[in-house]
Amino acid sequence: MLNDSLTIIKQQTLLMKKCLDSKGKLMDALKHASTFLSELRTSALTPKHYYELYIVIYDALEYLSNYLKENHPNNHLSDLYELVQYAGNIVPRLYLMITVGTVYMSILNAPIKEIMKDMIEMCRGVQHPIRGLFLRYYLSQKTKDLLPDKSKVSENTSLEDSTEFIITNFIEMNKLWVRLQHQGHSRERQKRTKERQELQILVGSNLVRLSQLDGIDKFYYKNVILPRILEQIIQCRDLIAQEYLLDVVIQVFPDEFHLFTLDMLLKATLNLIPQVSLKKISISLMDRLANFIHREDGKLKNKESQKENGNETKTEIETKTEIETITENQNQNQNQKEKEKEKEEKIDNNQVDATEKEKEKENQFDLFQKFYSYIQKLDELRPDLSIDDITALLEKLCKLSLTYYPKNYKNIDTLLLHTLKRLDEFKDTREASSPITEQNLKNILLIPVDFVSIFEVHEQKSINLDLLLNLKNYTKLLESQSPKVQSFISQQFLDKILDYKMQLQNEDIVNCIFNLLSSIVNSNLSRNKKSKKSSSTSNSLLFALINQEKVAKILHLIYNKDPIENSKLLLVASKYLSKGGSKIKYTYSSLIFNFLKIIRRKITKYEKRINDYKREIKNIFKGLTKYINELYSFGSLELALKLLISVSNISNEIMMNEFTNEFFIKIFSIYEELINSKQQYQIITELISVLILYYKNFYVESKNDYDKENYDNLITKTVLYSVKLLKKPDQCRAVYFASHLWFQPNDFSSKSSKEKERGKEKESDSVNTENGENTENGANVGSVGSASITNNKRVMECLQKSLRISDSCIESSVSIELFIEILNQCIYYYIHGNLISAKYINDLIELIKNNLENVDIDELPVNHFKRTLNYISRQKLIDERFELIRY
Amino acid sequence: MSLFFKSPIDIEVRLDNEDSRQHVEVKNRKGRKEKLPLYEDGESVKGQVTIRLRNNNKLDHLGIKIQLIGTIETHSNSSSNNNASNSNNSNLTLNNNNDNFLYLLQELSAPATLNHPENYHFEFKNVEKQFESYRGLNVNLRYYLKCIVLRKNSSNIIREKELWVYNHQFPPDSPSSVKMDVGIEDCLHIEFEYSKSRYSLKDVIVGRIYFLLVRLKIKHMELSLIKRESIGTPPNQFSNSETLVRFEIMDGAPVRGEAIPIRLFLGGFDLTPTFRDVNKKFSVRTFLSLVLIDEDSRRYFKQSEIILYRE
Repeated sequence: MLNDSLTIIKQQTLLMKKCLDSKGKLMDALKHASTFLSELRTSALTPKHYYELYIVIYDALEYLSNYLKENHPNNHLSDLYELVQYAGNIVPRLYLMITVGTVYMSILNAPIKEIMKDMIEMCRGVQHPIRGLFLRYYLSQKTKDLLPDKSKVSENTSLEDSTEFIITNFIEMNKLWVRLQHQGHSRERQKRTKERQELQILVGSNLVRLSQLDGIDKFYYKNVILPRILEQIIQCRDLIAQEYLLDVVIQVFPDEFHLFTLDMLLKATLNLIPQVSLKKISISLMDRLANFIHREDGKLKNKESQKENGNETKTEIETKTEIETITENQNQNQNQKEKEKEKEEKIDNNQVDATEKEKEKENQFDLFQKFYSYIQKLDELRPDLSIDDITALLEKLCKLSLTYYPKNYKNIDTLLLHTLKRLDEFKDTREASSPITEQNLKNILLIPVDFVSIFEVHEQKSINLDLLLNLKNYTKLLESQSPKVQSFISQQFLDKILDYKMQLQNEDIVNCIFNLLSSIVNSNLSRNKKSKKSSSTSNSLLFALINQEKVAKILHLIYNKDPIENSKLLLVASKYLSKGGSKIKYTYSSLIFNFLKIIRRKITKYEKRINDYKREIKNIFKGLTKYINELYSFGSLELALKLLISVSNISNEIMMNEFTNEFFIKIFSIYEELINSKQQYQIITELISVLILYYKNFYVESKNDYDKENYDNLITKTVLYSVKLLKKPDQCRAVYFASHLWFQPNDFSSKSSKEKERGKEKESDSVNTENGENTENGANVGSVGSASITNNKRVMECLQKSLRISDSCIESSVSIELFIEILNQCIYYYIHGNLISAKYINDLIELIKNNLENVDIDELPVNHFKRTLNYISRQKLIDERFELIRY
Repeated sequence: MSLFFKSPIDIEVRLDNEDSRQHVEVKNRKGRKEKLPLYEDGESVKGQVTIRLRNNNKLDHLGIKIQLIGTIETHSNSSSNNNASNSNNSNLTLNNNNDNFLYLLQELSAPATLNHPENYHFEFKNVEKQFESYRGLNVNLRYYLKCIVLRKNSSNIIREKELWVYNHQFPPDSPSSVKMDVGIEDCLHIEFEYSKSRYSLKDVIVGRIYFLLVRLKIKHMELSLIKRESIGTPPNQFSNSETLVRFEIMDGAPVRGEAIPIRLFLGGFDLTPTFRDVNKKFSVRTFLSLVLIDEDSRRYFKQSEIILYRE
């Protein structure tokens, strides 16, 4: 079908060209043209194929019009215009008419206005939708550059003629287009809808054309153009047309016009048929206006830069003012108010360039109020509007308001309240929980989050949470959402803050942030259980963990120069965190360490006046105890223990022995509930190492006998726990570690502080290593004073005990390993004092050797033993006492 | 006939200023075009007759005269009934039924003998030419000059020369528009309007059709011009219609409220002015017919007469 037509068209086009090229055969050429144009009379083609025909024919007719133009003095165009009207069939006739007519228009002194009127009128004859649409599209294409406008106005034509022409064409095309929907069989509805969408651009092209006319100002647009377009759009009562055309209107005309005619536009949308998605339209309008500001900014910048270059801009503005004056005169029937405004504008314009922007903003009256009242009206008039549409609208309005009135938080708050209300109305409907609505709400909620930004004040970066802080309804709305949404928002928010890595310096901010994060921070036990059941995949768990980790990171961002303030902030945060239930185990450690950090800062800052701050520190410690208790109550025993140890470290550091003692008592009480023997062993070793550290404060520095007693109790208790460990090797190791508690190689009271430090280091080293401590010698041991806790008897007891335990191990390889380790300990004591005799060591070596011989074991203990012996032999070179040891 | 009996003389009728005179192209019965000199009512017919001898023979004649005849020839066989279907067949057996409404005669020469070519001038002064020339299907209205050379023993030698006559009329004072309201009940209701009912032949018909109710599935709409030629007077009238022009004015189906423009240039068509009861013999009338064709190719039409005149 299509191909047949195309062939005919090609043949006829060729013939036409031939006739045109030979003289005096214009009539024949026109006949050929008429013949190929007859192909456009077909009804058998789909719009797409028809368009292909149209394209080919367009080219052919272009050739014809070029010919006519070149030869126009020879062929009287007005006669020709009449001549082509003898064509019997209307479609070819009109195409020819337009072809000749537009050529006629293009020549000098042509009766342009009359031709335009005539063509547009005659086109009415084609009532077939597709043919009519294409014919009128042809009309519109051909007249494109010929229509009179500001740049090419002549005596008897005016811009009005052009707008009238285009609007008429638009109205007629739209009618045809709408009619297409209602033709043919009703079961082909779908197909027709699709066809119509293929054709929509033909209709829309008129509006584009209209917007391209030079010299249309906003008054003319408001008074003449827009009302007619809107009337047509409303009257056609067609879904596709209304949606598409309004969108075109919004897209093709300048933003200034839209601002100027906003009321009209919005009012018009209320009169559309109910099926039309007002959402789409209003959103595209709002988007457009929102982008406008950005574009304007860009323009303004350009202007400013221009101004710097010279006074070109000045003249530009002057001319602009002139134009405005003219338009003002034209629109005298505009009400007084507007005039005044205009004048103001004018004055502004004349005054300073910089005020131009402000003027524009003034000019925008209250954009927000307009849209808001529009939405309210929508609620009234269109109760069937679904909640997802409403929410989408509200979302866009939020964004718009933020672009135009970034400082007006009240607007946003109003919107949030509105959203809340509307949501309430839809509470129990299915829509309210549809994914779209949810997404929209998410977007709304994200807006303030996205708005969080960094700004620089006095060259210091700071986080801008003003918006969030000023939204009273934000948290309400957030809370009304499903936990999924809430946590999503919180996450986004978290990420945002973490991205900026800004310090959170005041209470409001902290409050605000934790309110927002409440869904992540808070525990909702019942819900949690459910969600765990439904989504117990490791993924979601991992996710939850990551979130908690982020919350913990936030805690580190809380910072104030003043430690006291800072601790207040942390307290605030802790209030929120404490709602987290079991989740605190992820966040509290970070909280506690932050407190510890503050204490440290206090120490360094107020080192000299530390006592003045002890009370505060005490308070902090009390708080910390509380937190740890909470952790404990949620069963995180090990964590609680570790934190307690860390806390006690600090309290020790600042010599608050009673707290240290308290903490340890707490430690012991929790320790007793530990079930896992591995954990127990680890904790015990940790305790031992820490206790060794505390020795100095409890024994050496303290003048208080009570402290010493406490310390004795603590270490005795520790040894007792060591012995009670479940596994033999653990017991054994714990006990020989514990032996060090009674052995302080250094006498702190008699050494210089420098050496004390060194000694400390070595103490900690000596627990786990077997490094030779050759700088320390027997003299050290001898000088153990009365204040020293060193109790050889206890040390020996411990060693003996551990020997016995290792001996009782059933697995010989294990016991040998333990023997070797004990041997190492013995060597250490041998170096640092005289409580171990050489014989003791010799016996031990003997024992190990015997055992090694009896049992066939793997290499590990053997190597260890060899290394130990090696060490002894090397030690002999520097320490004669080692000569006594034989093996 | 002159082919078989070669006439001994050659008669040429020449009109004054014939070359510069306006001619009208008319189709003759065989479909060939011929050019005829154009005269108007009251115009003198003036010219000369040239008689040339063939083979240098002498010719004795009983006188030479020239006639100006206006005649109406109806080709209809008067015996046949007024059945249109017969009209085609009867064409072949036409009984020329002539009715001369104009007969003027002028003697050119008394009986004499022609020895050499001779010119004779003639002039019919201010001849009233009441009717326009017309060539129709079944009726012709002709004006012709007939030069007759009378002979004693043999038949007369005749030479005819046809003239064409236009009758110009003045435009009517106030053109009145034609409005009509037609329809099929509950199906179609249209209103049409022509700017006037009388048109000159070079005129253009302008009008508009309003669709007030459309329940038909209209495919297209056309306008046709129909010429109706009627011979005789009722009840023995014989008519013949001929569609001269078909002109599509609308493509596709309109909806209620549409107004479709009509514009038809008449100048390009071969139209006949309206003749009413020409010499009580025949009439030629033109009708404008508006035809709607629906999707099932049914035709709905409304005819209305328009008066055509020559300006």
